[in-house]
Amino acid sequence: MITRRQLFSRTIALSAFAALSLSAPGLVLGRGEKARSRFVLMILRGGMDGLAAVPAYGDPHYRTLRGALALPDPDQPSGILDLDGHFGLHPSLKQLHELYRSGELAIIHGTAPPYQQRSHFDAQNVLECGADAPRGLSDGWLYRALTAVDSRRQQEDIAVAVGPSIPLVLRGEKVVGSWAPDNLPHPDDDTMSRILALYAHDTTLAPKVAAMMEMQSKMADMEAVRPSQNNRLKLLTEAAVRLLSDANGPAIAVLEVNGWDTHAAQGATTGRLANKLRGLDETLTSLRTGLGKNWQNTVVLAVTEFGRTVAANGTKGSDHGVGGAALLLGGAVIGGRVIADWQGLDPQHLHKGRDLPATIDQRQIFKAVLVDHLGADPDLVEDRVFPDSRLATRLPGLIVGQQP
Amino acid sequence: MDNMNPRTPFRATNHLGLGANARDLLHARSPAAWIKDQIGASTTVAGMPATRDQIALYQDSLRARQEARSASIAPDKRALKLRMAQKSYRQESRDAVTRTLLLRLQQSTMTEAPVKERLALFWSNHFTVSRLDRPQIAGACAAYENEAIRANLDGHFAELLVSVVQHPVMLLFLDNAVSTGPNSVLGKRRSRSGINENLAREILELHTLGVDGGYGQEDVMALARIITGWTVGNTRSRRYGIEPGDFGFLDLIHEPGTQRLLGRDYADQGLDQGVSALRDLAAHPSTARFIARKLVTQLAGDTPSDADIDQVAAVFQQTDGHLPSVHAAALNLESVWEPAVRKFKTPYELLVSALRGLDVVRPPGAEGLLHALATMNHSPFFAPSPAGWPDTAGHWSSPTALDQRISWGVSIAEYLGNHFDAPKAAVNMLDPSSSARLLTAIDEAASPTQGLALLLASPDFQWR
Repeated sequence: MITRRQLFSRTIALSAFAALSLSAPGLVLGRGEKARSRFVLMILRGGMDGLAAVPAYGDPHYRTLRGALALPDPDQPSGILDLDGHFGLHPSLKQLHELYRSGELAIIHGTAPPYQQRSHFDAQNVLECGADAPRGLSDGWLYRALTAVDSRRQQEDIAVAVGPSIPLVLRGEKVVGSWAPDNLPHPDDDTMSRILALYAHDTTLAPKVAAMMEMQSKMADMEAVRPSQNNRLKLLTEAAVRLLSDANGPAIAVLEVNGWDTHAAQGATTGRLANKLRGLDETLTSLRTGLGKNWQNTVVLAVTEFGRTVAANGTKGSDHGVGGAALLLGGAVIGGRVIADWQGLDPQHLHKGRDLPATIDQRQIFKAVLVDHLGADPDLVEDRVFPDSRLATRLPGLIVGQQP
Repeated sequence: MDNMNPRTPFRATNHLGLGANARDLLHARSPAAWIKDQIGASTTVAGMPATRDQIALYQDSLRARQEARSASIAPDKRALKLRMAQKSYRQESRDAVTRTLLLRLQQSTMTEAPVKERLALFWSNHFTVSRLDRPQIAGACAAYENEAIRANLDGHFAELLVSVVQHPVMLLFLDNAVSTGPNSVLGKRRSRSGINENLAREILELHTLGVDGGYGQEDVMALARIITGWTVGNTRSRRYGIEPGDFGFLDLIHEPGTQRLLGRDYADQGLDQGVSALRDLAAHPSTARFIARKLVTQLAGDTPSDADIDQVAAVFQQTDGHLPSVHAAALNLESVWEPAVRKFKTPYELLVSALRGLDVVRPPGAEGLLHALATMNHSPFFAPSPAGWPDTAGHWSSPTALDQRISWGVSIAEYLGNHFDAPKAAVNMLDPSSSARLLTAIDEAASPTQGLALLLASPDFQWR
């Protein structure tokens, strides 16, 4: 009997895809100690409320401005999980709180892409393309960084999108791999090989089908799991762990989580946003468990396109704001700190009197991850990945053992 | 005019309609006339339940669950009663949603005016509402499309826009139903309520001007204040003359006063303040261009030319957004008929073109089709954001998506079984001049089912 996997390797070897995408097995990653570094980028779409996830409860304006959204003080039941006496974590983020205390989680507060308007779609575009204006570049910054991260491998083999589509941040000329759970039955082997022969002649789709086949052979045993609405994110996280654990597999994975746009009834200690945050807490910490010893060389970054208004709106929710919170965690992170250029919540220091200003350009974090963690050449990062961004200097001191 | 592209029945039915089949090809022998006849054709879905009833269904179930929670029931029976109410609610709401989605799918599959149907789907996506995390409107999204969009494609854009913004499902989806002017009668009494700017922002950004259309945050706020009071009735609103599940203007929460939007002052005339503002937004040059770009992208490829966009935008402006004229102008663009211009089908288009191509009148396992759409991340009225779904190949053709599309094509072929004459169907569903290789492969297939699988899972069939 031929297993799926054997069939795929055979089909690929025999087909016109052979030259397109197979990475030679046993290739050593990158250079030196940095070579085995892993990076997970998680994009939280919709605008996560940074002051709900990381409340500045010590600020005198916190409670009055946040109104119905304010969380109870740390000494109250279901209270804020204290970080440093001024900032805390939402009570749903219990396991992340442990990571903060063990020095594996850093918070960057008051950060945003270089964009001050309030469109989700433009803000996400800026976050992902890496320019300083919407649609300033047509491909993604992480895609452009791939050759700088590892020049010896094909770009498309270095990173993977875990989800149904490839987000802009990983889109470029070549197609990176992607994986998502699939609950449609697969074709029989004979039919599949006939279909593959047809795709070899479609120049747009052929490389994508090649990437698909390679991914399937790698993930054959996960294909049987039936995804549901509830276990989807868990399944995607497990897949990311699996892919990153393969010594010859991708070093970078991108995941997306939708549903952070809480205009109405977002809740406080309980409710819609509390549930989302609990899911995020479980997902992020399950990466730590799953990656095992590789966690030491891992950085996970969760970012969103903007924060939300400091004040609650008229419908017990919050509206699109500017500065938000980013979570940086992993064994390679120097954590246990809230990094912010904090001006306080006094309305006179807020952006247009309503939003937390963005005092840290998200690209400053991205650059630190690329250079200090993934070992990318800083000049390449400045010239190719984030052109015209010299004012956004990379944040120092985020990564363990970085070059001075 | 030597360089003109041939306007073939195949291009008309496959690219502009929802997939070629023998019947459409026959009707479209004269493609120009076939399309012209459809511009004014009705696309409303017969038998679609009304929004009012669908919202009432939700409100009733909500009440049943609240009653089950209430103290009048003995505590030992309360948990059981609540569980039963929740279970029956879940079942009922799932059934209600499924019914409406199947009606809509049937319309797309069976219509004799598939070009107009494409336009209806285009506008529905432009004015997206989504069931995602919104059980309150889940059963009414298809009704919204039917009442606000499908019924308003033969007039002017301004009327379409007003119908959409006044529709209960849109008002609930983008949180305007509860938006309360702080200086309104109720706003002054209830200090905890206030403005919600979500709908106002998306009107400017997604529905009319577009994000670069020349507005600022102050305009978002002004429009949000202007449309306070545009709300949806519930049982308590009856005393103000607004029936449950209906649109109504509630002066008690409307922010009083003149508002300045895009440099123009709108005196407070209650409901008319908002209608005037929407009409002016509809007439704005940025709106004409924004709509034209989207429409041309839908019909003339993922990278539309400025000339094409200008041409359609000009018609939009000259005719005050007369939709039949705008549609006709876009469908008549030379690039629409250029054979090299191809669009990657959305999963919904893929599925509909398969059903149409094979002339499957009553697809067996229709719920399985909805399930397949969910797997391919294109479940109707389930867009991840108010921007709706992109319609470009970059979005829909990831390796994972291709895997799912191939698997779906093969599994539906297996489902339909061996009684289809795949080579015969393929001759109508494909362009014989460019699909010679596929047609040979279908002829050489090991069984009719495999031939059908090759057809539906082929790269040729992924494009239109």
